[in-house]
Amino acid sequence: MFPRVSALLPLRPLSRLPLCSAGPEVSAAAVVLLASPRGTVRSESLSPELVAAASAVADSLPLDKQMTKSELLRQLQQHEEGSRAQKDGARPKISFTDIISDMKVARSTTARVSTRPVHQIQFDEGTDDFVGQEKPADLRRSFRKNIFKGKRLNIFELKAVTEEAPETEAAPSLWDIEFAKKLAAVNEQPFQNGFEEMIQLTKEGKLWEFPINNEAVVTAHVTTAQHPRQAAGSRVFQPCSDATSSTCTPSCFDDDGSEFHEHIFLDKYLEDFPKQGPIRHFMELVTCGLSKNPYLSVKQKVEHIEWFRNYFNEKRDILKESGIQFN
Amino acid sequence: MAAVSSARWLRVRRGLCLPLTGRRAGLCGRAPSSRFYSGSAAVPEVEGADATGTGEVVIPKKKTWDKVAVLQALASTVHRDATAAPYAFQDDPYLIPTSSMESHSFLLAKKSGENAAKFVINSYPKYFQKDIAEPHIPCFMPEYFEPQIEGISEAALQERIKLRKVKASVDMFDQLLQTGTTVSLETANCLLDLLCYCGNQEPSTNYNFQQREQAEELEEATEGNNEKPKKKAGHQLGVTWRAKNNAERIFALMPEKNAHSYCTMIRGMVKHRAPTQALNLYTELLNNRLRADVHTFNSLIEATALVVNEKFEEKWNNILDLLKQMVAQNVKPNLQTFNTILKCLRRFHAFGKLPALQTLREMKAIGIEPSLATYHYIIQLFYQHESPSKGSSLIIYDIMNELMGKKFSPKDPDDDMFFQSAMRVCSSLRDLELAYQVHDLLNTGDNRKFIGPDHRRNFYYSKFFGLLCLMEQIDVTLKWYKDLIPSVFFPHSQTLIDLLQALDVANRLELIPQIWKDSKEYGHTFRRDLKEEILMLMARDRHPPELQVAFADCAADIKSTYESQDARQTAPSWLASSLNYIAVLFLRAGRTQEAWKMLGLFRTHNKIPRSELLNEFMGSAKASGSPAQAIEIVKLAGAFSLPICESLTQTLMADFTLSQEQKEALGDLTALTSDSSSDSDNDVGEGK
Repeated sequence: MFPRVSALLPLRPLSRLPLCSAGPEVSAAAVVLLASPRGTVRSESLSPELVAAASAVADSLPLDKQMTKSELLRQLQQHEEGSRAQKDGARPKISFTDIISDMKVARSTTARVSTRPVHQIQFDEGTDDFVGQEKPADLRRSFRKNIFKGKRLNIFELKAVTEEAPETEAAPSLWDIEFAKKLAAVNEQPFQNGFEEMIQLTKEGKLWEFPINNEAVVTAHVTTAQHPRQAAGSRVFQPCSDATSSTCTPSCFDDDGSEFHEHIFLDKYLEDFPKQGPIRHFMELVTCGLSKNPYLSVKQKVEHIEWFRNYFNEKRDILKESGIQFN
Repeated sequence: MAAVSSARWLRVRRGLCLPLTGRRAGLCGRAPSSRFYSGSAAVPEVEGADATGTGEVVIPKKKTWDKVAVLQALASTVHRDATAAPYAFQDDPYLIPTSSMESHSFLLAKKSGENAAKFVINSYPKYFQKDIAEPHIPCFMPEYFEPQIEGISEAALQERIKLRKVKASVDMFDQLLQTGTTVSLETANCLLDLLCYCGNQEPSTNYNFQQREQAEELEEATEGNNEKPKKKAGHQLGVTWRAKNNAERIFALMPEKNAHSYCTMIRGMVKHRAPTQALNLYTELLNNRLRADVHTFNSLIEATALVVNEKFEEKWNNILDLLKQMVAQNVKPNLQTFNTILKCLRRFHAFGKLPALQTLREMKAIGIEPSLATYHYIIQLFYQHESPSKGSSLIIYDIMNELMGKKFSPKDPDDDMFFQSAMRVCSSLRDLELAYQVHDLLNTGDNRKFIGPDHRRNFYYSKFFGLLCLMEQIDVTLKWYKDLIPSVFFPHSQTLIDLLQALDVANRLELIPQIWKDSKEYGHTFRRDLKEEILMLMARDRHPPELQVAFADCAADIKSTYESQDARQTAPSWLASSLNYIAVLFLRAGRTQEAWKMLGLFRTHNKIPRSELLNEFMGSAKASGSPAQAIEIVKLAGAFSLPICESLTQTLMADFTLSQEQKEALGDLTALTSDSSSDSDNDVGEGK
C-alpha cells in the first residue's frame, strides 16, 4: 500500500502529520516498531511531542498500553541514536534504504540497530514516508550532515593546497584563452533592456562612456599613437604634430596628454615680463590668442612665449630709448 | 587679470569639492576630491566643514568607477515587462516572433546578418578605409587575417600561429627546418598548442552560436547514457586524433621538449578522443622526469574514464592513482579537477554515487568551493531516470539548502546546466516547494544568467509551469501564466494541454476560449492534440447558455482551422472525435444549421458519428418538430449500419407524426437494415 501512496501523493517532507491522525499508518508503524529488538530506554533525549505521539499510538492499539508505549519509545530512541551515530561516524550513503540495508556491518554504536530483521526492508517505503512526515527536520538534518560530512577521499591536504607556491605565470596559452572565452560565453544572455545593450556596446568600444568625458578623444589618441597596430595597411590615424596636415581629422590634438587648463591658463609663463606697460598688455593679448588656439600643443605655445621673451630681450636698447621699462 | 581671478575661483571651488555638474567636477583630474557620482554620504560632511569656516578641509579619497557603472545602475532599475515580447525581439512589430521556432530563427537571422556584414568588410578591406569616428573605433575597421610577413623566418611562423592558420604554420615550420634554422622552444610550443587545440584541422570560421549548438547536441547525445561515439561530420568536435598526424610528427621532430610540450600533446589527444595514447605519453613524461600541470592531470582523468573495456572499479582506482600522483608531484588541484572527476563518474551509474559524494567532501575539505556545474553532475548522477525509483534520494534537498541565497559567477563551462537538471528533478519528484526554491535561487542576484541558451530556458520554464499546473491552485497558476508567457518563454503545446487540464480540475472551463486564442497566437493553430483536448473539454458537459455560445464560437473557429489545413494538405486532418465534439457544441448552442452541415461532413470524411451525438440530434429534431430531419438521422444511422439505428427508428415512430411517403421511405430503410439485423420482424411489422 505504501509504495503506491507515495507515488500518488507528493512527498512532502515539510508537512508534519501528527502520529495519531492516520489510522492505517499508525498500525503499520506500530507493527514495525514492535518488531524491532530491545534496547535501553532513554526517553529524556526524545522530544516531548514524540513521547506524546508514542503514547497516543499505544492508546489506540488494543495491546498492553504500557508495554507498547515503552517499546515505541525504545524504538524511537534507537532511531535517534542510530541517526546520531550516522551524523558523527562514517556514513557515506544517504538513502534511508541504504542506511538500513547497510546495518549489517558491526559497529559499536549501531550494533543494536543492525539486528533489525530483514523483512523490515519491505516497510522501507512506508517508514520513509512515515518517518519523514514525523520528523522531517531531524531526518533532513541528519541527511544534510551526511552529504557534506562523511568519508572523503583523503588524498589532498588542506595546507598543501592553500599554500601559495610562487609559480611563474607564463603567458596564457591558447588553451587558457579558449577556456576563458568558453567561460565568458556561459553567462551570455540576450539583452533584457536597452541599457544592457548599451553596456555591451560600451565594452566593445562603440559607445562613449558615461558620464561623457570631453577629453576622451585626447587620451584615446595618446594611447593609440604609442601603440601602432601591427597589421600593415590599417593605420588610419596619423599622429599629427603639424596643424597643416590635411590627412588628419580637422581638429588635431595633443600628443602629450596635457589638460585643458594648461592650454588656457598661460599666465605663469608671463612672470618674466614687466607687470605693466605696453609689453605686458601685448603679452596678455598674445596669451589670450594662444589660449584660444586649438591647433598648437602646449609646448608650442610655451615656445611662442619664449620667442617673444628672447625678442624683447634682444631689442632692449630700442625699448630703452622709447622709455619702456623692461625687467 | 581675468585669468588669474578665474584660476583662484576654480581653486576655491575645487577645495570646496562642491558637486558641480557631474562632468565638470570629474574633469578636475588633478584634485583627488572630484566625484562622478553625487549624492554620496561624504559630500554633506565636507560642505558642513566648509560652511563653518574652519580652515581644514578634509578631502575624501577619489572613487573610481567602472566605465559601465552608470549604465549598470540604470539597468538595475528596469524590470521585465510581462506584457511585452523580450527586448531582444523588439524590432519591426511584424517580425516579432510568437513561437520558440520563430524566436530561434529570429536570433539566428540577426546574428547571420552581422556575420555577413563582417564577412563583406573583411573580404574587401580596401573599400572600408574611411574612418570618421572620434575616437577611433577599432572593431568597425576591417580585420586582417592574412599574414603580412613574407619569407621564411621565425617571426613569420609566430604570426601565422597567432592568426591561427594551421596549414600555413605547419608549412612554415617545415620550411624552417629544411633551411636548417632551429625553431625556438617557445614557438614550437605555440605551434603544438595550435595543432593540438585544433586537432590538425583548420579552425572553422563559423561563429559561436553554431559551434555551441553542435556542442550541445553532442553533449546531450552522450548524456543519454549512450556510449557509442557519435559521428558528426566535419566540425572540430567530430575530429578524432589520427596517428602520425602533424602534431605527432612535429613533436617527434622537436630537438628539445619541455613539460609544456608533453602537456599540450596530452591535452590535445584527450580532447580528440585518443585516451590510450595520452596515457602512454604521460608515462613517457614521467620517464623524462618532467612535471605535468593541473590541466594535464584533468585531461588524464578524463582519459582514464574514456578508455573502453574497463570495469568501473578499475577506472575509479586509476583516477585515484592519478590524484595521488598529483599530490606526489606537488600539483594543486583546482575546481576543474573535481568537476572532471564528477563528469566521468556520471557514466558509472550506480557505482559512481559513493565516489561522487566522497569527491564532493574532498573538495569542500580542501577549500575549493563547488560551482553550479558540480551540483549539476551530482544531480545527474543521483537522478538519472525520469521516474523516481524506489528510494530516490533526498540529495536535491540538501543541495538546495546549501545553495539558498548564494550568488554565482561563471567558473565552469557547464554551470548553465544546473537549473535545467534541478527543475527536471523537481518535476519528477512533483515537489512544488522545491521548485519555488529553485526559482528563487534563479532570481537571486545575477543568477538568471545561468539559465543557459534558449532551449534550456524553454525546458526549465516548461517543466516549472507544468508543475505549477499540476500542483498549484488555479489562481496562482493563472498569475504565473500571465507573468511568464510570452515574455519569458513560448509555451509548447504540451504546456497548454497541462494548463487546460488544470482548468478542468479547478472547474474554470470558461477560460478555454481565451486559451484557444492564445494558442493560435503562439503558433499552435494546427496542433491536433491541443485542439482535441480543447474540444473534448468543451463538449463534455452541458453549460449555461452564454458559455455554450462562447464554446460554439470557439468550436467554429477550430473547425475553420481544420478546413484550412485540409485545403493545404492532401491527408485528411479530421478526426471522428473532433467532428463529434464540434457537432455537439453547435447543437447545444442552438446553431442547428451548422450542426446539420457537420453531419454531412461525417459522410464526406468517412467518419462514424457517436450514438450520443445521434441521440442529441434526434432530440434537437424533436425540439424543432421536424420529422424530415429525424428521418435524415435514421437514414444516416442506417447508412453507417449503426446498432443504434433500431432505437432511433423506434423513437422516430413514437415521437413523430409521419406522413405516408415518409413512412414508406422509412419502411424501405428499415427493410434494408432489417435484412442484416436479427430481431427485425417487429420493426418491419411496425413500419408497415
